Amino acid sequence: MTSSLPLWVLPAIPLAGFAINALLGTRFGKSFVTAVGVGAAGLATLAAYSRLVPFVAGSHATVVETVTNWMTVGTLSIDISFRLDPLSALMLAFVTFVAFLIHVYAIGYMHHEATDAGYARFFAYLNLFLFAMLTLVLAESFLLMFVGWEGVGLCSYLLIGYYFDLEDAAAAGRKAFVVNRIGDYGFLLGMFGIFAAFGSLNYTEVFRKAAEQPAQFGPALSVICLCLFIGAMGKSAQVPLYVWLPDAMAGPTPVSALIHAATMVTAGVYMVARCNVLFRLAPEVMLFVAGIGCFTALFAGTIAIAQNDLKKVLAYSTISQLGYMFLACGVGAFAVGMFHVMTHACFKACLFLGAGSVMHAMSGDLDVRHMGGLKAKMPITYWTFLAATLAIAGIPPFAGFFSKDAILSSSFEAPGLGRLLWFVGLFTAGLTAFYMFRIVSLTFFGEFRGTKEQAHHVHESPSSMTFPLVVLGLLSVVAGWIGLPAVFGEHANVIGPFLAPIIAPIAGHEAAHEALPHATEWLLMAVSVAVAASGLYLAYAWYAKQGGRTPARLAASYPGVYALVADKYRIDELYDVLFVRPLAWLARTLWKVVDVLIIDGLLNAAAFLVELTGDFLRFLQTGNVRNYALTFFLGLIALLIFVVGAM
Amino acid sequence: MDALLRDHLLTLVVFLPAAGAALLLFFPHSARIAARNVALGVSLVALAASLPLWTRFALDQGGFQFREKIAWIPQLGISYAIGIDGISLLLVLLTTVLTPVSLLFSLTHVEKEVRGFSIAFLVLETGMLGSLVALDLALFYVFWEVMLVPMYFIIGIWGGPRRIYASMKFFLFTMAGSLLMFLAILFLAIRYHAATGGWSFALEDLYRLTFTGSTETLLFLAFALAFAIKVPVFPLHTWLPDAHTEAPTAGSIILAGVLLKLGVYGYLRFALPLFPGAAMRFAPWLGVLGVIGVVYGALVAWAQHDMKRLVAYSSVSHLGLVVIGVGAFTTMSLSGSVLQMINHGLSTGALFLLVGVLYERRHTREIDAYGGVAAVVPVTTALFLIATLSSIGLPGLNGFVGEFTILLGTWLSPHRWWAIAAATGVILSAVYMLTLVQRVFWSPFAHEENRKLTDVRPSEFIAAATLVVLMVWIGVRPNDLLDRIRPAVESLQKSVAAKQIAEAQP
Amino acid sequence: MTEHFVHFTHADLLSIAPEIALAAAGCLILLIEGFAPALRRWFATIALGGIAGSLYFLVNAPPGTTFGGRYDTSPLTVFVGLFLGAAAVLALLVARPYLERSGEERGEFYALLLWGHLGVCLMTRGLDLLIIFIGLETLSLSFYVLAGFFRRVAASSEAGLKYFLTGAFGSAFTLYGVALLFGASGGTRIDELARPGLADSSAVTFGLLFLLVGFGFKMSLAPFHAWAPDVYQGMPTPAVAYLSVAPKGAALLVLFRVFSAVFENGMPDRFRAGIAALAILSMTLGNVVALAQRDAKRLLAYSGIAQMGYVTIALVVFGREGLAAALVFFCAYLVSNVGAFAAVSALYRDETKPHPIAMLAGAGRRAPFAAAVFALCLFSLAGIPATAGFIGKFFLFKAALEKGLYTLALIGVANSLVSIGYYLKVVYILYMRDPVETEAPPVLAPADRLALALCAAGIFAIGVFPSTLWEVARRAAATLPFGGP
Repeated sequence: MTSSLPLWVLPAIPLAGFAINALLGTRFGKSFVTAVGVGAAGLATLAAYSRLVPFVAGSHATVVETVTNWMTVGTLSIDISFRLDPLSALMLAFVTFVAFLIHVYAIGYMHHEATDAGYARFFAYLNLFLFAMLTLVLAESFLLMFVGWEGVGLCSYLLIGYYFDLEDAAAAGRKAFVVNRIGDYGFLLGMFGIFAAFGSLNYTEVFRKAAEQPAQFGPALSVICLCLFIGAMGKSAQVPLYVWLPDAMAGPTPVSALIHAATMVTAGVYMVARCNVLFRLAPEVMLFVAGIGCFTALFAGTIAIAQNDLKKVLAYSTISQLGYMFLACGVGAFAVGMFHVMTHACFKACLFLGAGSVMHAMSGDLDVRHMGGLKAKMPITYWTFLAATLAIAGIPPFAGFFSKDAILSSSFEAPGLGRLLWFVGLFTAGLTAFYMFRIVSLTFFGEFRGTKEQAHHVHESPSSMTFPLVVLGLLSVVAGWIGLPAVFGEHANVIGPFLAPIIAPIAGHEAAHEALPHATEWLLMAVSVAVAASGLYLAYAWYAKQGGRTPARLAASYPGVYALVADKYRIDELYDVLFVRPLAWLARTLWKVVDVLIIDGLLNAAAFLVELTGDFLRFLQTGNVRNYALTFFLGLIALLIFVVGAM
Repeated sequence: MDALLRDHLLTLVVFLPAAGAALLLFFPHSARIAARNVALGVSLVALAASLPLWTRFALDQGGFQFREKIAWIPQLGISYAIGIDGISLLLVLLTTVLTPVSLLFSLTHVEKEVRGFSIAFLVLETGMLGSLVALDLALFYVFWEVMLVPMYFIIGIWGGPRRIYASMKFFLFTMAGSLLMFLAILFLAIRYHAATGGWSFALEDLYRLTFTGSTETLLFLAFALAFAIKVPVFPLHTWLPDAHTEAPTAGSIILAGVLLKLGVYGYLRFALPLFPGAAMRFAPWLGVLGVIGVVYGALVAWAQHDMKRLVAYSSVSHLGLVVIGVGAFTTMSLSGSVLQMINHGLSTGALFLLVGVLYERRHTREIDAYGGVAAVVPVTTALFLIATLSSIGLPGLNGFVGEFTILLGTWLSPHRWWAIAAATGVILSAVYMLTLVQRVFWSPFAHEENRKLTDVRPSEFIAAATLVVLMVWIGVRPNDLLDRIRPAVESLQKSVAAKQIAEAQP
Repeated sequence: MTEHFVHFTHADLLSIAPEIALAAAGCLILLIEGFAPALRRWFATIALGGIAGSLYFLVNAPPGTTFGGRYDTSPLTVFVGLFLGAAAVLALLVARPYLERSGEERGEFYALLLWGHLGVCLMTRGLDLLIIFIGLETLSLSFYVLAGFFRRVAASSEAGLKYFLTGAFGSAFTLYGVALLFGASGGTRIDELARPGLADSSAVTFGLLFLLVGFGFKMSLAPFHAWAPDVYQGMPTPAVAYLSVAPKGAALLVLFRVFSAVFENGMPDRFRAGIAALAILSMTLGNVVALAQRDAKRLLAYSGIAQMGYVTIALVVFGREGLAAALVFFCAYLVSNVGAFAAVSALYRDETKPHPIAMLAGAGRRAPFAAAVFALCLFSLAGIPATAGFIGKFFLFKAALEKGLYTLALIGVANSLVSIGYYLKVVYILYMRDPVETEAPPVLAPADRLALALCAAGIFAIGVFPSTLWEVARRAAATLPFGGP
């Protein structure tokens, strides 16, 4: 009777795993920790699928399960209740699965990395993350989602700072948390707005009200959606809040794969998709979302070209891909966006794990300039990495092709700026293909450029690491086939109809959507494939064939531009000058000037004045009786004048 | 005994510590161990005695419970009248919890004049409890002032290098406020005499008085100033960083944990219901000062080099939020403020305690003297991290519930922008607290002498863990507290509304 | 009129028995001093006996006025008498060990103290300005001598001389005031001042002002305070303990008697204003200058000046309400101030040297009991609740506010904030500063302990259970003749 397994169990399992490992992990050693940590992830996955299978097979009807009331204050009443509908189902499906694979991968990866205590800490955090992510996905109310939302942020903070004794890891962790908090600030205000407007924070109620009488919420919704999107920008690393993600690569690679590629960073997209009813009622915000997404995709893509750190490149490509997803949501193709979330999870996780495997082989070195020719030495890593690369580059029939193509075509058909967005997206696709194949060429083709000891240390990773690679590699190939474009037949696209119920109809907003003519669609596909292919070829020709002479010459002829791009446009430095330093200065000034100088200064001055008066008056006490008599007498005179004068 | 427990439970709780202090007076000066054990024991008994208050507290009623009333100065209608509602109940329990926690920590860390320390601490507890349960203004004032003396000694004798300045500043600041309140209390009673012909200092009698504009304003300000200094509200806060920093760890825990709350409590119990008209007129100022407090406190905290100072300024920021909730005066924001008082007591108490753990070993509060110590004191680090997360309002821990309800409640009030401005505290608190964590516990191992740092002792662990457990509990089941807060807050709002109407028609 | 002086009745005799007892005890002590020096160690006991006797007679004296309405026996005088007696007893308790320490255990001390006390009693019971004046002089003369008790110590003799000169000045004004009032009313009995129409005559106004100055001098009200610090410093501490409390109370009572007789229905505003001015000046000057003091006895002198400033508010309040408040305040002041001086006398080893506060450093550890009581007394003087001092201020400010004297009350509390500055300074030195001198102070004599314990007990008794005292004080004040509205 597994189908009746309550939803709250899903997050509860990893939470228990966290508790056990956190409290006892250090005591019982690595094997115990592994059993608990990976076991919890596996159990959670099983539990999840025990709910998913019947759901998908069944009517896809939304299920809401309430556990208990969390807090009741005044008019606010928040239940702890979970929701299973196509959207959360999709997330659930790949979050649990990918998470499990990465847990497995981590066994091998972390084995040499950590002491017993560190190992326990790592798996405890991973479980905690899974708990938070599942809460985020399954939550039925904005507030509960926020619990997960902040929870994953916390885990990301803890795991980025896993090597807490490294300056940059510690700093990166803090940066990630703070930047996310900036987003959360928006999310909070968004929630306040929602509660003020709808008198509730439950999805069902909010979305129903919004869909039924959209008119009465009009202007408020724009603000609300903007605030919510700020939250999404933080969590999903969109311009201008993307700066934390590249630094986040300081964390262990499994973390980068799980949190900073596959799952957490897509939470923003998930949230926007979840709130599609609200967003669709705020068209100007939709445009903003699309614009930000599109720009981020291009911006991050250009940075990725000039990075030599394997994980950094992947980080920027993640940002870029997230941009695609928002582009999709922005043009109203929420389902397509989620589709890309799903495929991206597979191939990006695969890429990161591949990078981790390479890093492992290179004994910690991630600089592509020291690599080369690893193809022969680590075949599994190579093939899986290649598959994933082709997927992200958008080469059919790999997963990425279908989702990315869907995004491009839906932006193409979007009214207004649609064509512009499409063009930028297309260009970025080429860019993606180029920088991705650049690192492939530099890493796996050509001659090995590293040191001697690296050279003879290089080896294929243990099976616990390669197994997930293979699985994800395969997924990078096939995952896209559930979303074939309409041209392959009416029912070729499975994912679209599955997610359709999420896009609830809004009173008076009947979407007048007529599909593109097949010819156009074929044409678009051909174009994007051509662009991607040429990107691939260029990268292959430049880096694999002629060993990067042309790019070097280019860089030499435009040193300024190259330096700027290589320095990530010096955005961090910009923020430092614009925000961090002024604030720090303000803080010091408030303390030293307002507190110490003004407030305390005045008080101490007053006290000092009184004491001074005392000291002064003390000298009137000369000890000389004549003066006493004098004061005495003067006092009397004064009194006489005072009293008798008044008669 | 049963009768005592049934009819005089509250008195028992309040005066048990004082009795313990009296007992200690007869101990020889040299009986250090005995003194500290007795003190801890007594405070634990007080805690045990206070638990029935929680279990026997009737949820459905908003009024005062466990009431006792004995004539004290009958000629002036001054009586020993005590009782608690949901608000004071929680603060009483907070006090009875934090006192043993502080004493437990001090077990291993107070070496000088242990007997005196224990006596001062127990007297302090009675003072705090008394002012929380007093329903007679004269009685309240007595307890309110009595608190000062032991705290003055605790800071002045067992404090840090600048303890003399700090203790004096603390005493004078608080006195400055309360002396005006003293006159205001007398004036109220005289007014009551003029109005009814009888004398009374009983709170509920004085509630019935109504005043005209300027008189009410002056009286309100006299009360409000006393409480604003205690909270402390910007710009009256500068005693706090000195007092908190120089006080011994146990003292800082109590200062931050309980004493500051008495300011807000006093405002809710006295200033607000006695002079609702004026209170409402000044609510906007209150809110603005609260907002300033939130941002100002957070920024200044960020600039500190001294761990305790940083935590002290964080209190200014957190209490600012509480003040905003009070100023907004919606059911939600008020309940949030009350809850947040408890939360702040726990989280900041824990932070001071754990800073104390480091301080007692290294004898420096300089942040730069640490760095990377997580490697040598993992348990301390973990506890500190949890306390930090509670303090920066991570959902699932107590801090978030309070913060969220205050902000949402404020958003729903006419002063939406307070919430917008104060919510930046969410960002800033993360900035300064995580900076602290990074610079003290994380980062490369900076100073070799820190290798010798030992992790928490059992006593310290129990003390801190108690607080952590409470943080999680409140975070997961806030309703246990909110159910007790709600009736009190609602009846407060009712009485205020009723009186405003009464004042509206002369 | 005069025949009353020729043969006075049994009632007269009974009513004056308390004072006779005091005089007799004094004489007895001097006789012993002269003829049986061996019995020295009984001096204190005899003196205490004398006071006990006087109190016994006082309590049992039949109420009413005697000597043709010139001498008062009423709940009021009983109350005040007990108050004065308490002061004397405490002073005597401290005196014995004090004199032993300073090796000056001479009978004069006790005799003079008793006779000074006798003078104070006369002041409080006399309904005739002349009797009051005689009392005043008896007091003054005894204490002039006491001030210079340590003949070999320059400071002491200087104190004696100063006190004498300034005192003479003060008495002159008093006497002049008496004369003016006599001229105006045609009699020296206070009740004769109550004749209608007198109130507005300038002679009465001047007379009252001179009395105010004269007794203000005794109360060490600013600007007539200058003698106090020097005299306190030189005078044996136990004598100071008495002088700093009892005569001041008596002086205020006299002012109450006279003013309420003249202004039966309310004091005119010009006098209110004048007295208020004195009150404000004393509070402020006393507190502010006290901040700058380095010597314990001088600090207490200035604190006393400030305290007299507070209690003078009661005279501004006027009427029986004011007197009642004043009585309670003085009881509180008695236990706190005498306690403080008792502690000073116990904490300093060499009585003939000055008493720098700095020498008290670490006393909290070296002499815990004395230090604790000292601190308690200081907190009480500062008016911290649960101590007597708070109750004194409580009723005082209540009375003031009832009369609408808001400014005065505000200045009063502002001053008590300032006063905390120096009271806490002493506490801080007692407890928070490391000792400068290593050798321990003298172990407290039982008498010292007893006195300190009594004061501490009194401070808490009044501080925690004030209602009885307040009731008694009100009853006593109610019997003030011409109490006014």
